[in-house]
Amino acid sequence: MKVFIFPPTSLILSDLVERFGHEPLVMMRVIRDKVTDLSLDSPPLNVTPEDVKAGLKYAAVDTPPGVRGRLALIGPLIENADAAIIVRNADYSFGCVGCARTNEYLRYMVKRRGIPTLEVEYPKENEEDAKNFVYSIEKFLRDLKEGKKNGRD
Amino acid sequence: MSKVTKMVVVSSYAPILSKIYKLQFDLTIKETCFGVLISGEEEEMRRATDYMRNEFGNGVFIKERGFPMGDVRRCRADRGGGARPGFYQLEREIKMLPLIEDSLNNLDEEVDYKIHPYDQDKKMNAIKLQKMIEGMYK
Repeated sequence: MKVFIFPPTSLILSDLVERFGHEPLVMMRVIRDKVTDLSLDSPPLNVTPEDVKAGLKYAAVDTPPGVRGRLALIGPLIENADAAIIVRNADYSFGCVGCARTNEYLRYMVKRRGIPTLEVEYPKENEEDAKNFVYSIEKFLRDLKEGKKNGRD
Repeated sequence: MSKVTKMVVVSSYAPILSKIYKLQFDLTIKETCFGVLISGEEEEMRRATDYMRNEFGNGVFIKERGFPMGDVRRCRADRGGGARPGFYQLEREIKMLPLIEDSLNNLDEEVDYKIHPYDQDKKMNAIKLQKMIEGMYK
């Protein structure tokens, strides 16, 4: 099953989902398709006017372009997901997801879709936290059934 | 078949580079401070990642990378130094890897471990909401 992870660039979540036999929906794959596409329409990062239109599907035209651009890339991942794992309070959502408003909106989109969702927190320097983190994810992914595919819309 | 690039991150030292060279996978490999970057065709990549997971068990963590290796849009050599965009998150997650590895190693043994559920956001009860509103306007 396809599992959306948040932060969408997370190494640990991406690895755990793949390790437990599911397909992680990650930002890196979207970026790869974009930057290694043979037809580079708009170098260096190949962001075209089409991407801006895709972002309008999720947010109004007066929304900051940073939010809309991120949603244009990450929104389709949520639409295709059968389940989601979200890390709450990931205070270092730097890099490609370093936008607090986008992060809030993504959580909202996941909830609105009504797909099975697990919300966890990154372990601090504590063995018990780490066990809880890993075992929760393992149990959640084990319990995912094909019948529960796709949410409300 | 398209080319993919993957990051292989190790929680403690593992001789990944020499093992992959030894098996002569048709991949481009680059050693980094956190593990290795590998790039190649998808099928070959799958063989290599399966091998690494079998050989090094829970000590290796693998994720995809969007940009190819040494891409001028990301490579530090061409950007005048500093951390590569996205490295901060990776750096923070690398610090947690020993704990995650330990938990994965004990996954089969500790069948009785009781999971402490995280507080999941629940929908507010409509009756409770109604009572709150009524309370406000008394």
